[in-house]
Amino acid sequence: MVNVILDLKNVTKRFGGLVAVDEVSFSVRRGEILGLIGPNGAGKTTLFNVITGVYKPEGGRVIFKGVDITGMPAHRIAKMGIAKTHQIVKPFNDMTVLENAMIGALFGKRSGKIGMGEAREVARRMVEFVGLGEKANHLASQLTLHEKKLLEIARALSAEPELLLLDEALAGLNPREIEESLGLIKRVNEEMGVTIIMVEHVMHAVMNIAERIVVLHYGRKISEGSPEEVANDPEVITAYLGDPSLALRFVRRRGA
Amino acid sequence: MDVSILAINVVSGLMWGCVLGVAAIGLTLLWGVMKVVNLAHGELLLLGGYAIAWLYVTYGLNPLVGALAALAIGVAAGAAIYWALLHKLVGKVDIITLRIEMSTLLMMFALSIALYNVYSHVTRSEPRGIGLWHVGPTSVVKFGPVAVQMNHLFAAVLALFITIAVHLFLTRTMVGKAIRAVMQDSQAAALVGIDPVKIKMFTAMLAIGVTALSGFLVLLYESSIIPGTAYKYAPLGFVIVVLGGLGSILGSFIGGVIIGVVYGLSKVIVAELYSPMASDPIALSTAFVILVLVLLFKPEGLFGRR
Repeated sequence: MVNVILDLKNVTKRFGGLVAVDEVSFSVRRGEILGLIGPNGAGKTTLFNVITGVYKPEGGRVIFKGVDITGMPAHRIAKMGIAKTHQIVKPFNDMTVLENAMIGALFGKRSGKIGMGEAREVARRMVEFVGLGEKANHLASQLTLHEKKLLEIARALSAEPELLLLDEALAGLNPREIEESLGLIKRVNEEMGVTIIMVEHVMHAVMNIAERIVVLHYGRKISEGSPEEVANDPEVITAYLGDPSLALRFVRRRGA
Repeated sequence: MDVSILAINVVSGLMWGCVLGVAAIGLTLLWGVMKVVNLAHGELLLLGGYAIAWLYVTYGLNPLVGALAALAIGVAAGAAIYWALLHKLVGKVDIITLRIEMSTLLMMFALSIALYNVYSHVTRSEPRGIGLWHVGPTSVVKFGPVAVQMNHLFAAVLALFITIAVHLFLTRTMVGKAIRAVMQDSQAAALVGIDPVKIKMFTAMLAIGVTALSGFLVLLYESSIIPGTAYKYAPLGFVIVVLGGLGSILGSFIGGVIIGVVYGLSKVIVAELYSPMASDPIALSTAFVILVLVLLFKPEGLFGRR
C-alpha cells in the first residue's frame, strides 16, 4: 500500500461568488515530488493557503499524516510538519540570515523542546545546506532575490518539516539559478527525505523534477498523472490553449 | 550667554530625553508590531505614576518597590486591554493595516478619555506625587558648575537600563524573536509556527508594562503629576516614535535623547533672545517642528524601514 502523507478530499474555497478551489481531491505520497500546475488564476496558491491554514475552506477535508487539519490555525499546522516558501518572498528583513533560520527551528516541529544553542546549530546546518553559509550574518534585506528564495527554503527546512510546499520557488530566477535551485530541491527530497509539492510556472523544470503532476484549471482538477500523461492529456492542452505554443511544446517534447 | 546655563540646560535636556525615550518604547512596540496607535499612551504612563504615588502616600511603600508594582500592573493591564479592546480588531492576520490603525486609534482614544476622567474624578485633578522622596542620601549632586537632581540622574540611568533590557529581550529570547518576526510579517510568522495572537498579547503586556514602569521615571522627573501630564508626554511620545522609526527600540531611545536636547537648547536660546517666560512652551513646540520635518523629509525615521 502506498504511504499517503497528505490527502485532500473535495476541498472547496470560495471568495464571495468566486470559486477559487472547486472540489479538489488528490493524495500526496510520502517521499515524492508532486508538481502542481495550471494557468494563472487556477487556484494553486489558494490551495496552498488552504493546506497551510491561512484560509479555511468552505468544504472538504485536508488530512495530514492521518490527522484532519482542516481549518486548524496556520501556526499549529506548521508545528505538525508542513512548511512553505512564498511566491513573493517574505524573509524577516531586519534579521540576519541565521536568525531567520533560527526562527524556523525555534517554532517548528520541535518547538518548546529545542534550546537556543541547538536551534542555532540546526539553523546553521540548513543555511549551509542551501549554500548561504558565507552570508549567515548578513541581514536578509541585503540578499539578492535568488538568495532570499534560498533563505526561505533554509528557514522552512529548519523547522524540520515532513512536507514542504514550494510556491514558485523558481519564478524570477535566471537559467543558472534555476539549475542550482532544482539541484537543491532534489537534494532536499532525496537527502532529507522531505516530501515536496511545488507550484511552478517554469514548465520544463517541473516536468523534469516532479514524479507526478496535478493540473488545476479554474479551481478544478482537470488532470493527474506522470509528466508524460499530463502533457498528452487533451484537456490539459485545451486549458493551456490560451497559450497554444506552450501546449504544443509539451506535446512535441513528450511525444518525441 | 552664561556657559554654565547652557551646560545645565543641555544636561537636563539629555536626562529628560532618556526618560522620554524609554516612555516611548511601549508606543513604538504597539504601533510597530500590531499597528495599534495607542492614543491612551499618556494615561497608561500615568497609571504607573499614580500607582506608585498612591502606594507611597497610603502605605509608605518605597517607590523603588512601587515601580515593580507599576510594572506588574502595566503587564496585567496590557493583557486586559488586549483581550477586552484590541483582540477583535487586530487578532486576525489578513486585515488591512490602515483599517487597523484607524480602528485601534479610535478604540484607544476612547480608553484615553475614560482614564482621564477617572483620574480627574479620583484625584479631583490635584497633583499627586512622592513629595521629597529621593534616591540616595542627597537630593542634588554637583558636576563642576552643573548641579543635577539625584532623581533626574537616577531616572536617566534607569531609562538606559530599561532600554537595554528590552533590547536584549527582543533580540535574545524566543518570545522576543517571535515579536520581531510578527512585527515584520505576521503571516510569514504564522507559517513558521508562531502563534500571532499569543505574540500580540505578549506584545501588549510588554509594551504597556514598560509604559507603566516609565510612569515611575516621569514621577521622578515631574515630582508630581496631574491628569493633564498625559497631554505633555503622549504627543512627545508620538514625535519620538516617528523620529526614531516605527518599532525601533534603539530609535525610540535616541529619538527621545534628541528631542530632550533640542528642548534644552531651545529653552536657553528662547530665554536669551526673547523671554524666559515663553521659553518652556516655545521649546516644547520645537519638538513638533521636528515631527513635521521628519514626516516631510525622512518619513521612515532614523532607524525605521518603510
